[in-house]
Amino acid sequence: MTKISTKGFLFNVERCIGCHACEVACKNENKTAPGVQWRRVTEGENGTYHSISCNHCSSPECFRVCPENAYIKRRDGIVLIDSNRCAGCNTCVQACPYHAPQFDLHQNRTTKCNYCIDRQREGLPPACVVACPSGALVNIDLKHLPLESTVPTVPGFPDIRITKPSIRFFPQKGKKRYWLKEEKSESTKNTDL
Amino acid sequence: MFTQESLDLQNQLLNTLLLGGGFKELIKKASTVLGHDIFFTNPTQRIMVSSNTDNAFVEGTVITVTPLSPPVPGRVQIHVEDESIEALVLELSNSNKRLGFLFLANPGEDKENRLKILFHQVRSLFVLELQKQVEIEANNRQYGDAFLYDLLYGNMEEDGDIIARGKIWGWDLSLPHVVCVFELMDYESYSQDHYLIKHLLETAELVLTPLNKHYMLMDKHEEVILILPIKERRRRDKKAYLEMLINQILDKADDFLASREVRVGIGHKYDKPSELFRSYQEAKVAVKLGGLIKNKGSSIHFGELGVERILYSHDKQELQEFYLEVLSELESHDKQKNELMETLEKYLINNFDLKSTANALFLHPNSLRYRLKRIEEILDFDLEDFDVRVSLVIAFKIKHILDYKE
Repeated sequence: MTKISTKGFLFNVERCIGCHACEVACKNENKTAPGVQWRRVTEGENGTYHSISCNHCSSPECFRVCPENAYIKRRDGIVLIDSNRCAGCNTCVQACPYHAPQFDLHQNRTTKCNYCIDRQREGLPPACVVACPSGALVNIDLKHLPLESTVPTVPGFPDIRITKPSIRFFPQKGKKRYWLKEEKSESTKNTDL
Repeated sequence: MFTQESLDLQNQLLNTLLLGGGFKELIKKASTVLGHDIFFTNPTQRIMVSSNTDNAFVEGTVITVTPLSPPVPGRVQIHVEDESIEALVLELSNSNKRLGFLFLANPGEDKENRLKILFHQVRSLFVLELQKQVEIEANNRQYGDAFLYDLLYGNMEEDGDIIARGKIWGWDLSLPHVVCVFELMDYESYSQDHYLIKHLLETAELVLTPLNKHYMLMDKHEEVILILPIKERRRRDKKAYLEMLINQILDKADDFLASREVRVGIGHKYDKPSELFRSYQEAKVAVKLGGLIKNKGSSIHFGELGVERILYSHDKQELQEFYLEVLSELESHDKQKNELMETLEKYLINNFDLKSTANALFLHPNSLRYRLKRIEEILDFDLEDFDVRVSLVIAFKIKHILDYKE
């Protein structure tokens, strides 16, 4: 029996360098159609980057609005879409604040991140997590991770109140900057005196 | 000192357990040997089993514990309504979890600490039995919760299967059910809030158990979800019954929730268990929209959400366009003072009644008339026209929904 859990992501804003490796890995793993990007890297505030995909929300709007009941929320928290049931109405695409469901023009159906369930079955983490060179993106179980230093949202991330996404963040700290001080010339030193 | 007596007591209690006696037998035996009433509570101080059934300290009662004055170690004063007694108290806990408290009523003087020593012997056996019970319950709950999770997310489609599986836990899912969601506002998962949710769950159990209904309860992050069988056919009866239960739960929860807000959403009644997930989604929408609808109390029925329900699910872009078409001119005209927008909204809230709007705005009716005339000029609308009034009401509702969504 699959235990009830809350699979999600932990994202460290400070560590993301905007290399788009997660995007490429996702595309490569899931062979999504041209124009369909399940994971996207966007620019946030103060030179930060956000890597956003489906957040497998606690109250998924896509699940709620779908007239065909094509969405499933599994016991481990993963939200999946049964593309065979999808009628291509785009209601979920508009409802999701993170633009996670993506309309596939070729198949005339909506698809979305499936948390790499095939890899999960083999005990492997999602492709985007493995590809991240700086360790900014980590897969976690929110139910059992006592991370008190994390926050539910960061500036630039869409509103979390409606869907309660399964993602936590390490917030951005103030940037450390170092400057070389110019040595004062002899004449200035004299004037100072 | 009291070594033999202590060993005898332990043997007698062990024998009781070996003969298959549960808590009731154990507590009865301990009470007979020690000559005092004994009862134990869960961590939230609800009496679980008591040796006495005559006084106020019976099963299911929630007690209040205060220290003695002056304080005495191991002794407390316990209160239920008007009744109050002194008691010896011991914490029932293993190395990492508090399981409850054990009380011995009216210990008297207790020379040479005889009662205290014997009471400690009783405690260890209670901890053992309680630990076993907790493990069984946790196991049961894990399977039950997994079933409820699938039920609430529509992961099971065959009604027959659902009804058969529900019977394992004694739930009759062939009856019509309704889902109520209690949501703790501003929940933070890495704070102490999950204790509040557990407490709320126990409070709901406390209220519902005496009714002997085959209700289903589970907690999920910031929510306590109640699935209740409902026989009332008339809408009014159903509403009154649910309100009564919810108010009782919230009243009891008020003590520990302090200033925290709990909002309750109630979905529609569904006859088929495979459709119950709709009721859950409706209840969640009712909770979300509850923040927008004022003066409706803390519990919101999905069926009473009105036009907000349609607007909430409607395309955001289209809503924005409608709002701008109706009110943008007034809004841009009113940028500095926000006087006319407020006046118009108050006029709508007060059912287009001049007198009550003027009172609400602390204005003279003539000043209000002047403002309304200006609004009519700016918007080029006749405020007496019914269609115009409907459009304005909807436009303001859209404004609140868009503000909330953003």
